[in-house]
Amino acid sequence: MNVSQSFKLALKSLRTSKMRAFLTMLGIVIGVAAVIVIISLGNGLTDMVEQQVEKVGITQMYAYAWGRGDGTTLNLDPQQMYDLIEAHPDVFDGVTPWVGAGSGVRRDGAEFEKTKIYGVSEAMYRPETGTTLDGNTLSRGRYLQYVDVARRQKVCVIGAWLEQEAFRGDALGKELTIGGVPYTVVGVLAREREEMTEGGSDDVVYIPYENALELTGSRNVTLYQVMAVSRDTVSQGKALIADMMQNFYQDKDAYYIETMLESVNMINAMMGVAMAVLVAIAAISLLVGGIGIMNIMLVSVTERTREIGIRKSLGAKRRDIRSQFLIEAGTTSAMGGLIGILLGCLLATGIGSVLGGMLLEQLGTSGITFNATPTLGAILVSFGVSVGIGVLFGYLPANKAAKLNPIDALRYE
Amino acid sequence: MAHLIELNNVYKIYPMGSEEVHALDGVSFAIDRGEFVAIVGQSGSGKSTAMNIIGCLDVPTSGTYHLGGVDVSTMEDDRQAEIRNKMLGFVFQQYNLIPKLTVRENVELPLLYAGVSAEERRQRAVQALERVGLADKQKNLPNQLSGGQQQRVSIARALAGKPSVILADEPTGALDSRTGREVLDFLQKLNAEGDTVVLITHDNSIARKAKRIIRLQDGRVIYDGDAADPRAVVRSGDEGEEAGT
Repeated sequence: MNVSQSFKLALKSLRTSKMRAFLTMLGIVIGVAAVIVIISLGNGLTDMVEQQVEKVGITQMYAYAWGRGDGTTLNLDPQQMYDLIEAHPDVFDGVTPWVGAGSGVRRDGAEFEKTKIYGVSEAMYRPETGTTLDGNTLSRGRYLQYVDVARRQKVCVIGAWLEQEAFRGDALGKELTIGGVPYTVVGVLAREREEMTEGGSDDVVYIPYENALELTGSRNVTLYQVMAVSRDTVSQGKALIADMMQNFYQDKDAYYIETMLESVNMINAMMGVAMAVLVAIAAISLLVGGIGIMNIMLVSVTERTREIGIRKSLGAKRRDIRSQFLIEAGTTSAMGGLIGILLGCLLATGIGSVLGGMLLEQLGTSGITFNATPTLGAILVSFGVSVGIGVLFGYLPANKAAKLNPIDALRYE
Repeated sequence: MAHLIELNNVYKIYPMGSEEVHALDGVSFAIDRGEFVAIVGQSGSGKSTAMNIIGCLDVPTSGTYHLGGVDVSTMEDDRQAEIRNKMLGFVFQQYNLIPKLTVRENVELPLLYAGVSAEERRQRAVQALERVGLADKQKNLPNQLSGGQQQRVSIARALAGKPSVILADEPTGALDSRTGREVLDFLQKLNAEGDTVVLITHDNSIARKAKRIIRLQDGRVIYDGDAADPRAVVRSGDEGEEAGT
């Protein structure tokens, strides 16, 4: 007996008992839908993280140089860092000291106490790409330049929020006061967030790093932002900086190097584990669905014992009977799989748009989207798995049917 | 030429607790092509066991059974299925049609298992239905037909595979006497047209429609000969009792 015949027969027997067929495939429907939803949301999240990282830059590293604590004069000179970076142009793309100098600026008597002040060097900005190491761009003016940093000039680059609030949208050439010292605004950054807030990432001031050091009363740069040439040179770069620091401090606890790549890899790995766990839980539903199919197929074999006897008396071989029931089980679970895929895609889109909206609102970063669309691979695998489950769990009942003795089967009432 | 059906000293022994039941106790007979034979016996005489063995649904405990010159008594399951498919056409008491298949699909079943192409299956099924006068019912479901019609469909199914033997097991058992007679007339007609028919029954009046009677009692052949012979219907013991099956 050929496959298409069995297939038609299977569809026929599904049609004749729709309610039973639906209940039988319900487990598979739920399982497949759950797997699709989880994979879709997971893909959406991964994609979102990827976008965010793309924006910030996957090649970023942060080198912390804390030193060995109080009572030591062993301080890393920024020049040592510059030398290392310059010595390896194939590995590093740039470096800037990064000095957090608290917050609070004044303008015309008005105080903006939440405005964050950072000290950086001119290397924070790359004229060739027109972006800062953070991935931001200038909307007006220029960035800090070598002379500003070398001569500790009192100039600054400000964020979009500060320009809007403190200068009514026109800050170029005007002054604000930081720690009692007037600074001239030479550049304004493009807005980073859709909704700018006080104290947010658009409420910032960048000044030459040595000026910032003065503000903090410290003489040491303890954080450098370093860019690697590409993803592939990140770990090499990390090793180079670590070697230099180790040589200098002779103390493992005096420094620490964090790379964006490692953080992202860790996030991805954690999300991968979380997703695997969720998918495994959803897969239990598939297992239960498979057992449901096996149960109903066993009932079906008993109910149709006489039919099996008739077919055998007419010349059906074991494999004919077995394939008939296997195809029936496979068809049932495949239909369940199809319905589950449909349901899963609908749910993923629905949940994705609600959840994605909430997530993006919270992150507030512009230019990032969240799409919980299932991949073709996930759909194909789910379909394959559901057919596989049908065949796997259908095998026992089908084999039972195939082994029935024709005489007993014919006499069965 | 060899006989079409040849049973030689066939035993079928079932263990029943500590005892053994000899359903067939050394049965030998032969049936040739074109014969119309009734195997008659009371319930428990062994006629059902004989029918199972002739029908390749069961194998003898000992002895040999040749069908069409081939020893089928030791064949395994699937080989027997093949023999049933190619050489035997069954007509059962309960018609044994599959209720969710149409009349034509039911008739096509043996051809399906024989691997006949869809087009040829359809043609041969329609031919077989024409032969039993039910070609116009081919799209109906079995339960839309009367008992007599259903039995004719099952005869058409038996014919569709062009078998060497038509094996009818109490074919009139579920029918009223008029339609029962029609079915018997039809089997006679088939035999007249050259088909070999083996009829299994407990009923003497039905058995007499055959040309030859083999009477079984307690697993042994007690009469084998012309159906017209008065001895064919004389039974030793329990005269008049008509046990079922």
